[in-house]
Amino acid sequence: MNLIPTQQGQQTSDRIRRAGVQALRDTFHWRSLSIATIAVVVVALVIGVMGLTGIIDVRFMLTRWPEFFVPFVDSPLYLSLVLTTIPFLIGFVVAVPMGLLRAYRSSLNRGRGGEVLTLARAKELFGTPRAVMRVVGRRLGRAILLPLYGFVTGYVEGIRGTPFFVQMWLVYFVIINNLPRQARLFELVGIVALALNTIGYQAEVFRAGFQSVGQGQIEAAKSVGMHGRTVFLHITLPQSLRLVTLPLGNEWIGLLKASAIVSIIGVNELQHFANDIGSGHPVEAFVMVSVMYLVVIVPLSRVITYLERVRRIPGLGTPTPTTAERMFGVRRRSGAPAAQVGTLTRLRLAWKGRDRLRDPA
Amino acid sequence: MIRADGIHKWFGELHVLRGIGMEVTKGEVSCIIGPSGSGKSTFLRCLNLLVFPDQGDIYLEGVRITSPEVRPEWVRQQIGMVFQSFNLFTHLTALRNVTLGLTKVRRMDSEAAGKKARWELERVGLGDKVDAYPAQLSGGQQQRVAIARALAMDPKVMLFDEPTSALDPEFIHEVLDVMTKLADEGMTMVVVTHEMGFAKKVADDVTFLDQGQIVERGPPSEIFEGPKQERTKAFVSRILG
Repeated sequence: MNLIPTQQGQQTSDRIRRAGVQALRDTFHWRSLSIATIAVVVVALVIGVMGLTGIIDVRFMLTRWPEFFVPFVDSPLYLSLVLTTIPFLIGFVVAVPMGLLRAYRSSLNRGRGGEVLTLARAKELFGTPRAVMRVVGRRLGRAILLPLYGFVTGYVEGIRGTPFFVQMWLVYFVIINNLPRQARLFELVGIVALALNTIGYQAEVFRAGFQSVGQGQIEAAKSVGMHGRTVFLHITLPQSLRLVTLPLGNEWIGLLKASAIVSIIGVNELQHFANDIGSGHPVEAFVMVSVMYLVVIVPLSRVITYLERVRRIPGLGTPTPTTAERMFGVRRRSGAPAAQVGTLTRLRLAWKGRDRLRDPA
Repeated sequence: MIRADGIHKWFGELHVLRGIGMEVTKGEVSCIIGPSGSGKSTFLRCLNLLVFPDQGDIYLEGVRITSPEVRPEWVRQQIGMVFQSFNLFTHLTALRNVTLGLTKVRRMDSEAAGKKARWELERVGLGDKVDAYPAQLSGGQQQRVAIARALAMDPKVMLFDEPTSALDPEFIHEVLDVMTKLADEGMTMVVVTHEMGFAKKVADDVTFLDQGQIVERGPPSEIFEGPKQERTKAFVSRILG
């Protein structure tokens, strides 16, 4: 029942395995289960009371609920997940280079100083093809990257500065007016609109992540002779991915909720389906669709917490608490003073005769 | 081994280095001292091209490394550098800190790299800390891992940028011990330091730098006990207290 061990001597694979076990234990720990049970009971009670007083029709809910996700393929839940996951992945792939460009803008127009390699000399040295690649490539690179930076910045500001609602309609009419009518056209509109949107936000997330990696780390990597690409792949990227896990998770959650807007153009995702069946029972429909979003998002945020815990660098930062620690203030790490444990827990443990509170040393 | 010739560097309007020339021969330990802001660190960074000089040339074993024909990555492979703030890769264990350069730059297979890295860590007295992450190590241990990381690349020259300035007093000696051992083994070293004891004992010569210029250069006994220049006198008397 330990967190990821912070002692030395732990291989990474071992750490990941232990963190996985920890996450499972944490999820199915009686404390978290009891909390979940309480939450479910409260929701059920509220629904029950509302049902008894005639505010909502419980029988309607019970009979229609499965239609949100059965059969799964092409169900509203499935469509919502597709509308979120594909744009998110596209966003990830496109936003990394965009964030990189934005993070390292200042090094674009800064020469290294000293002499510059002339094309003539490079030809002598490496032969014409490589010389052209090196000299012309460098100049061309700068000639392209600087305007590209302007474009990326404009794009990010444009996306962040306009409502998704507006962006979606824009994409909708561009696609509808230019593509022939075909199946899945509205789904395509939704995916394109959400992808364009999340690219803008993720680019900023990555920019922040890249810029947060210390200059000293990069200098050290260069000092052993690494190329820019190697430095990025082995230092900047792994360190910044840890930093952006949480904001990226937020972005995914935000995207799932934004996908509700796509219901307006007729994609039968969760919100659209709720509208559909809700004509006679609006309250029931919105309760049901709320629960559906929660059912996706709550486990997802658990996964994010798990990822953060697995990828945490031992000894750096504050460890993410387990659910039990968060809710009850129990420290299960070795050597924790007993005073940090709540009275109830101490009594329970004393009663059970456990020796967890003693220093194992 | 390494020679700098009339190095100038500007940071915007600021003229940081004003024509520094210096040579360190093979096996020599050369210390650079000077008040803060005198350009010591910048000069050291120029030597492995982390900062590219605006004017002047640097030669490594006769090769003009400031030439645009020379790739800085090739230069840095041959010059080890140790930083004031250690700069260990925070997301990697001590062992992986050392092996990364071997596998990614020198293209060693991971087994050979691991073996070499263990040996280098053993050499700085950290054979038992291979799996520790930097944040789990003391400052002195981190700096020794950093030294091992640089040494693993088999550098021809080692640059030390105030390697003990960020350390608690109790850890300074363990780093200096490693450096002394290294000097005894015949490593060519350029050391920016305020450790006068180390400079006196190990250095072959000491350079006093002020306002981007070399004020005085000579054997440690001369610089510390009988400096010729007024500025050197004032500085030395201040740090020797």
